[in-house]
Amino acid sequence: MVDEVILVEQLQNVQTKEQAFRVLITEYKERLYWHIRKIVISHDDADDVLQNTFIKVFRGIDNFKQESQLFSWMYRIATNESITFINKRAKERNTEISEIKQGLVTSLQSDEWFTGDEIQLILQEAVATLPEKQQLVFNMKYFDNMKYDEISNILETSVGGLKASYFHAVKKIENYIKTRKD
Amino acid sequence: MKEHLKHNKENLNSKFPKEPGFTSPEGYFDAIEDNFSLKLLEEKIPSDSGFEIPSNYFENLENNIISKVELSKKGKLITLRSKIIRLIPVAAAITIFLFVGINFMFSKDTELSSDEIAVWFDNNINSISSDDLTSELDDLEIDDANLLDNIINENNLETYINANDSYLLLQDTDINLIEIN
Repeated sequence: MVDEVILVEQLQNVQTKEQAFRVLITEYKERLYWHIRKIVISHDDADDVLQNTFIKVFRGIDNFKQESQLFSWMYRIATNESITFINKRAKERNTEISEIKQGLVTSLQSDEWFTGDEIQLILQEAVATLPEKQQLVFNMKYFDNMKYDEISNILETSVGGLKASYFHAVKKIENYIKTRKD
Repeated sequence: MKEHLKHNKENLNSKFPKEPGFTSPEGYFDAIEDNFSLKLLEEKIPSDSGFEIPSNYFENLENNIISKVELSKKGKLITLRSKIIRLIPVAAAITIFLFVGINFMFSKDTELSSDEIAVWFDNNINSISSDDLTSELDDLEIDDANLLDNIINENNLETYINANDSYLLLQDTDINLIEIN
């Protein structure tokens, strides 16, 4: 595990910035990729958003004050980039965000990078029906096994609020799956 | 101390406290039912998302991103200069367009008054052909089929023949035949 404080110092030093940035990408690329992928669904879009996220991190690292963890800060950028991506697409196509999300899930049926079975497809449909906050909390808690404290730092929401969001999300998803299977 | 008193319950209790020293998070027991039902619900949801990635996708990611960062840095250095250069012809084009447009709008009276139209019509009535009129009145709909049905039906024709002198009618027919031939 890389020491975040040392890494930030290296990232903020012109002499060591590029090398440290390489270390940063290696350290966080997979976790950020999967976080983004679960929001934007398609691999190609996730790749674009991930690269944009790292470019923003590179440009913004000099202003990073270490008031939060580096990881939480990057996760926040990745989350915002992903949401912006979805919103932008909805605006381009002059449609609702919820429709874009459902459309992304529908396209999974012909996606070469989705090998899930019927129940996993239904799960993605169910996640796409959730309000944004519940969707994020569910993905981070259920798939990424993150602790509420970590999620709280990233989403800047109280642990109690997150627990309630997660509980509601799980109940809705379970109901959705049950309805679709019946 | 006598041996039988050493193993006395009270004596043991005084040496070894009853409390084990464990504690639980605040509110833990209040939420235990919810946590339990949450576990049950989670078991009904598939644990894998089903998403895949191309093989070796992560291997070259560092180089891809760093090359993009380098490009964006270079882009930033020339942006201001190139933006100014690019803006010069755009600004010139906008200026010319505005100049011509404003002149056109304010110097030319595009609407004619109804009096002017009436005077022009009186002066040119003889030079306006029916073709010119029909070409201008292209939004006027004339239902040819109804026109024929209404005018040239058998009853109207019979009434017309009875009401007019047959000699004159024949004369008209001859004139028309001559004109056609």
